[in-house]
Amino acid sequence: MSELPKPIRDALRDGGSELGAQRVWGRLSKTLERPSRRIPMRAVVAITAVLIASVAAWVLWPRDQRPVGPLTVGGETLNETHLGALQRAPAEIALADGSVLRSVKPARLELLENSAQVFSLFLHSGEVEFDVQPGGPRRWTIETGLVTVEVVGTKFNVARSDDGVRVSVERGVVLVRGERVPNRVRRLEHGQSFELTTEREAPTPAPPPAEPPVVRGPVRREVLRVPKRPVVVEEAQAAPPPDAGDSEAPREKTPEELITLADVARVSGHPEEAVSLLERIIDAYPNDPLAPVAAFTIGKLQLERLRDFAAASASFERANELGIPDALREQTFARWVEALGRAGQTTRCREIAAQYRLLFPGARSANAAEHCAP
Amino acid sequence: MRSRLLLREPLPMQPARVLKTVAAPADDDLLDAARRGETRALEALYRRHAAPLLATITRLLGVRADAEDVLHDTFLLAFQRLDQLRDSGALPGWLLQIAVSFVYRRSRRLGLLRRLGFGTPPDASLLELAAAGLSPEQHAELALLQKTLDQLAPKTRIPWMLRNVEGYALQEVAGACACSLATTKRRIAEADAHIARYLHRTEVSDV
Repeated sequence: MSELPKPIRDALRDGGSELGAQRVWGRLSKTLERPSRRIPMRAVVAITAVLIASVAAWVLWPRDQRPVGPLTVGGETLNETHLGALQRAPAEIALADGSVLRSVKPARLELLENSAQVFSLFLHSGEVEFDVQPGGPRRWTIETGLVTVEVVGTKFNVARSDDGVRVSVERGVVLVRGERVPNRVRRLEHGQSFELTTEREAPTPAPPPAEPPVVRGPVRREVLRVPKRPVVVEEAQAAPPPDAGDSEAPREKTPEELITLADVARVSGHPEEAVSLLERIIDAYPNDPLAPVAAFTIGKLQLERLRDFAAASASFERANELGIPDALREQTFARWVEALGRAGQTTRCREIAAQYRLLFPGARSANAAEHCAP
Repeated sequence: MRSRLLLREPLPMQPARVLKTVAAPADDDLLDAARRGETRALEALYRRHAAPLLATITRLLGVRADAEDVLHDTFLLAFQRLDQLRDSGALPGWLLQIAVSFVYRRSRRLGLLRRLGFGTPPDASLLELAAAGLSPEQHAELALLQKTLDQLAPKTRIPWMLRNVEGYALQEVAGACACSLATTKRRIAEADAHIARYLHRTEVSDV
């Protein structure tokens, strides 16, 4: 049996709670007078969550798939008109990514490719200083016919004349590739330069049989060595090797060889020959991974150079049927819509534009249907 | 300049004011004023509810300094969240609930520190708070009870003390501990069983 009352509190003193409460009020009133510096827990949790999400997004974001478009100048995609400004010297083009092209001597530049991953120019003549923004997403290549200059972020100068080509690096590193470059490639660091003179060959009626006119390897960026392109094209189109016997069928060139020849024809101003070569890839190697790329390139040439829009739309359709790689798929659809629109095939254009919007909702040419307006 | 002149001037005699006895403002009025940020209202609310709450906290914790810290934190939090209180009649229960949540936290910390040998020795145990005039048997029973309670975890000790030492109704204990009535009953019963084993008591809490 318990001796204690219920509740037990009745058997206890209050323990000086009045005095204690008075002491606590002294502290509490001071605390209340101070402006609250305490950050609410909810805010702390929210800020922490946002920070973690930001870091996670930054780490996990697939950078290669970011929707980076082609290089622009003043909001417009860089085009031949812009490059025409460099035919005067000094002149400069400031690109949207912070890179600058500056003509030291009047230069004739041709735009080969301008995409999210690749920016490629052909320097026919003149001298240009390239100040490339480091860390950019695009691989820059400057073709000169004699050498190819590859760069990521640097400042360098390329001078092209009839006598040859000179590459000098002011900052960063570039790779100079070419058939006549010692070991086919040369690394240039800041302050270094490289010069290659044009071969002065005596005119000969036919090329030496032992030396194939086509450069080997997976070389879309390879040396463009032959100054007179039609000769090369003829070689590629018809002639069997001189040492081939009558009993042997002429060897068909590999897709890589054909695409290199097409590049030669394309950059030397012979788009029809380039198309013909590329069509041979599709005909002879329809299952080769280069076949859809060839179809795409044909479409691009027909759209931009030959202005044969109906043919271009057919080529882009073919590229799509052949299974164009994902990297070119969006561009294929965009140009396909453009070609259909220009060809006046309004209904088909709207159809493909709808497919395009469905497949690439956030793409740069999401308003592609504008091309379809009659 | 003006203040100096004022100081030099003799103060006029003020007529004696008759202080009238007025009724203490209700919690409702004080809460309204406190929500508007009036410090006097906060102080009045504090003076009305602090002392009994501190006595309860002290008995629950057994350490005066910690009890004062808990009281401070309780009123600070309550004043910051006065907007959440709709019914002024619920103020004492609301304050008790906040205080008990801090007591739980502080008890766990004290227990850990004591296990590590850093704990503050209790200066407000049941025996030390024993009222004058208790019999030696009652003193002995308080001492034993305190020893037994010290062996209990806060989650069973605090509901038992609120029910048996403080005399709160079961519903009030459940509200203060922020748990269901069934859980409260179960915890009190667990504590009863433990205490009965140690004190050889036969009676249990009125649950």
